[in-house]
Amino acid sequence: MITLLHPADGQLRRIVDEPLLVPDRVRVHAHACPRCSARLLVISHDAAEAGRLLPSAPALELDSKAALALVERRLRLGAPGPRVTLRERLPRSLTHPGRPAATVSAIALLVVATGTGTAVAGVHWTQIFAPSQVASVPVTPAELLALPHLSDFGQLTYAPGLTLTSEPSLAAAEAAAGVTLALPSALPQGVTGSPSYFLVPRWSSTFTFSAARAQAAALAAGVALPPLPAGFDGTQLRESVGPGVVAVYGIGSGSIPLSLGELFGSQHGQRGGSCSGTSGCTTPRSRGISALPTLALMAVLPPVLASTGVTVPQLEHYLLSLPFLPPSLATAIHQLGSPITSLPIPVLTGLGQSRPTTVAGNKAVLFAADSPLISAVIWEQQGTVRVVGGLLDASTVLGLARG
Amino acid sequence: MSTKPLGTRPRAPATSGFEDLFEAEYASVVRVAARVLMQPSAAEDVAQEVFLEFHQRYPHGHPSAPGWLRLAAAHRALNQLRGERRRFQRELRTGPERESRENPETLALATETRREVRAALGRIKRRHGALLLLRYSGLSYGEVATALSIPVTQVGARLRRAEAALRKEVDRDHIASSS
Repeated sequence: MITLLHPADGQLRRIVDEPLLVPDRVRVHAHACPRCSARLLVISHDAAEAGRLLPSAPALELDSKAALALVERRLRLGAPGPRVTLRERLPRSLTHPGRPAATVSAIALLVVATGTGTAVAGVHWTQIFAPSQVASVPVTPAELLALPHLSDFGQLTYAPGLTLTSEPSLAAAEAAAGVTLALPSALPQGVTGSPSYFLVPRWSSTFTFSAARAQAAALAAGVALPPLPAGFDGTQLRESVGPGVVAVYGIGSGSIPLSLGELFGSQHGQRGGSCSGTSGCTTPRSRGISALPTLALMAVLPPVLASTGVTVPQLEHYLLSLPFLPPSLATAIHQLGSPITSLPIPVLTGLGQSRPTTVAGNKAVLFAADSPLISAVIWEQQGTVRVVGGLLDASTVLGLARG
Repeated sequence: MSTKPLGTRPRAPATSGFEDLFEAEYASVVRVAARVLMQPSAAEDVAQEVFLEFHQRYPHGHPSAPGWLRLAAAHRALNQLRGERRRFQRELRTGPERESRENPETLALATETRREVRAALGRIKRRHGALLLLRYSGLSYGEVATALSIPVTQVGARLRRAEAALRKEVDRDHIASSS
């Protein structure tokens, strides 16, 4: 029996998508009535065509935890802060000139507060941090992304980039840098050819602590800051790192590494600084794993921190008491030991494995990832930070480091 | 979809309810925006803004949070697309899209037809575009109705009109490009 009322287009359209949610009498009619069944056929065809036309989303690799950490951070700091581009944020955290590879953010306020800085007449700088050994600080992507920006606490000034300069020979590079670099006597399987040499320039930055900015950030986040140590406001911290020498195997002559970040595994190396609050950082296009060197060795003078007023223990105590710092990261930093002599090496969990080891009796941090196969070991020896890394397994890299 | 009530502390760090919602819906919200923008990073930016806005507007939650989030993502993405429409038109005239620094998949997907469809999405009424994105992101008629604050009985008719509008715009492009 066909009902007299023909269903509307909307009802027929729903039959295509959700037939069981359409009343039986309507569905029965739509299939039994020649006119309505013809309409249903057209509507079904149009729906299929629309589904075909509408673009599907591109393949997505999402890290919802890292994204949530970003949103939480912005929520803590109050309404709309500068937009942070997620995909650029993570690599930037690792390779940003303001966050040299050997920093973890909280310590970033210690170490990043690095500096060149133009010495102001009448200001007395005292060296407060000159590490003699390395120590790893495991940090999750979420923790890394949740950390506050230095700009929440003061003013950071840094040189625009850390670009390597090609040198004709190892001797020339060593002479320019004032450090020596030992090359392996025998190359491991898969590493061929002669190395290219580069000079790592001296790089520095200055951070000026601002009590007003810190207070504003705390107010926006709805948290209370710990008491400010005497003399903190306006204190300047200056860090300098380098110069150094890098020897690189397995890159073509037209493929000079852009930066240390790119050289040692990050595919988002950065040439020059181009960061602003709303646009994020401009980064060169990724060149892919095939553009990475098969082996790279580096010797560089370690970061040195100078201050106009505060000491490292004061800084550490204050930073670890900040409510912004994830407790797990605070604990990890606290366990570093002497904050004056240990150079913290942030190790991003989830990207690979890391473990402490030794090279020539010195504490070292070994990092290894399986996919892609990348390993690196970093240690400090006789006043020089040394790194060996490449597209090699961990034991090979460690063997090269130990000579 | 989260069943827990959302946040209890305005402007506080996200509560477990918000975190659950974020975990459950983030990928879907990104996907809605990515269908329009085709660039994962741009879509993630949109999703970030949408979740922030949601938390600021509804610190205590919203009964139809998934629909609200996807609708907001669709509107933001379509707004961006409209802003880029002139660029798309220029690209249609001048040939292949310039190389993006986004990723090779983006380039592979940016075929002529897809560009035309995206351009058409940017030209049709925004409510039509948003409805298409909601429905084709997997929301049921009931969820679409809640998100758009319309009776569920109107969803089918509006969907039909939106699909017709999209096809008409795409056809118009075809005719224009072949003449």
